[in-house]
Amino acid sequence: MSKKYLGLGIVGFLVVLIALLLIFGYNGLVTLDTNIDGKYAEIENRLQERHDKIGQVLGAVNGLQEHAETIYNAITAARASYNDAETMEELIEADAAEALAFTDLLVVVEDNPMITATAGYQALIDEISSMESALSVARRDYNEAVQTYNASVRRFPRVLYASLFGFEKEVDFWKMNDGADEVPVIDFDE
Amino acid sequence: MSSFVLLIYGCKKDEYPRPTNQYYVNDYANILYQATRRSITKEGERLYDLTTEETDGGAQIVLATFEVENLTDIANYNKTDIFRQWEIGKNDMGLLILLFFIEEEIDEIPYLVLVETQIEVGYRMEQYLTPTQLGQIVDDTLYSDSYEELDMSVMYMVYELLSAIYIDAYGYKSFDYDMDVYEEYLLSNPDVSSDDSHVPLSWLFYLFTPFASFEDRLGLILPVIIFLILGGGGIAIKNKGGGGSSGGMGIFRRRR
Repeated sequence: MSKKYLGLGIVGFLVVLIALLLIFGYNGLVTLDTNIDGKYAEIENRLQERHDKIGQVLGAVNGLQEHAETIYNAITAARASYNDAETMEELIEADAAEALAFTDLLVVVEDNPMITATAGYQALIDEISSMESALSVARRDYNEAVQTYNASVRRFPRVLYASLFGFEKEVDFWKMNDGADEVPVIDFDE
Repeated sequence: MSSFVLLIYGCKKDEYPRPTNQYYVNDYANILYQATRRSITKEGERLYDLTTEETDGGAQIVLATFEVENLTDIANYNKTDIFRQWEIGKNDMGLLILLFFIEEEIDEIPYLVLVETQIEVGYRMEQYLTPTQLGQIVDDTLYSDSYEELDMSVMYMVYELLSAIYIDAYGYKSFDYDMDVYEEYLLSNPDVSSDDSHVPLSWLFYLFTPFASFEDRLGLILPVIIFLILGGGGIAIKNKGGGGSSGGMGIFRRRR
């Protein structure tokens, strides 16, 4: 009789133990996955802010179209590609295009006294460099969250939970072309 | 005892120095007058106390100075990481000012020269202080010719930033300050000798701040118990971070 109770007790203990492991394992993955979603949303917010700011910047820099038709067109094209982006890959491409357009814009503005003389010049530099810095941080935060998830999901026993509950085995990083995610460096030395 | 010290330092994982007990001023370059450090600390405490019950309350302005060997060394300091490590501002209403100095010789006398200024704002503070506004304030104060003395320019900048926060974030009608009064205060308190109030928090102090991670606390719990048994009670932190975070928004300026 006592052996029967002992056996039931052991089985019960194992069932509870497995249930607890599954609950904690599942919740752990949900936390990591949600963290990635949060960081991705932050990139989207920053991209939207930058996208909105491009219009203001073009308005603030008088004479840009006359002095740098190519850059103006590049920025316009970058805005269009952002509007059309639907997948993450397309969003990364649009991000890179806008970042490069901004960097080129800064070079043109720096080299052109007719443009730098406008009242909004310094404000323009501050807004762009600040926005690019924020985007750089958002991308880094996202990639760190992805790295944590990818590393965690490969480890035992989480690899089992990931298969069991249908979590992705690997999430893609926000990978930009070399140099495209660097914050433009503006030298204020006089 | 040596193993005790090793254990404490073995737990250290922070990339940057911990904030000082004053918290609002971290003069690692040891360039500011005590009067300036006290004034910034006092204003920092006042801002936090006055706004803590407001919507988006608990704003904190924290200033840090660093001496670097050359300009490239500045790249070793990430303003976002420092902001996050120091957890500036309640409700993400923080503002961090970093001033970098290089030693240069003028007439064979070594001086510390301001070579770069960086400002980082907390996530929530972003909606009240734009990069344009921050840049304007820094240009009109720290980088203007208004004052020759660095302490005066620094305090002028801090007052203007405080003014912007009080008015734009909390709806105050005005924030009054008088630079002439401050100049007199500075002249009457010329003491430049360093005091122990701007050294980094000791590890035992650090344990009780929000900067300490769970691992830090776990690793330090045994030494702390021993320390308390030996009679090391009565520890209190005067100022600490409000738990804020930031996302890279801010500005920077080169040489003054």
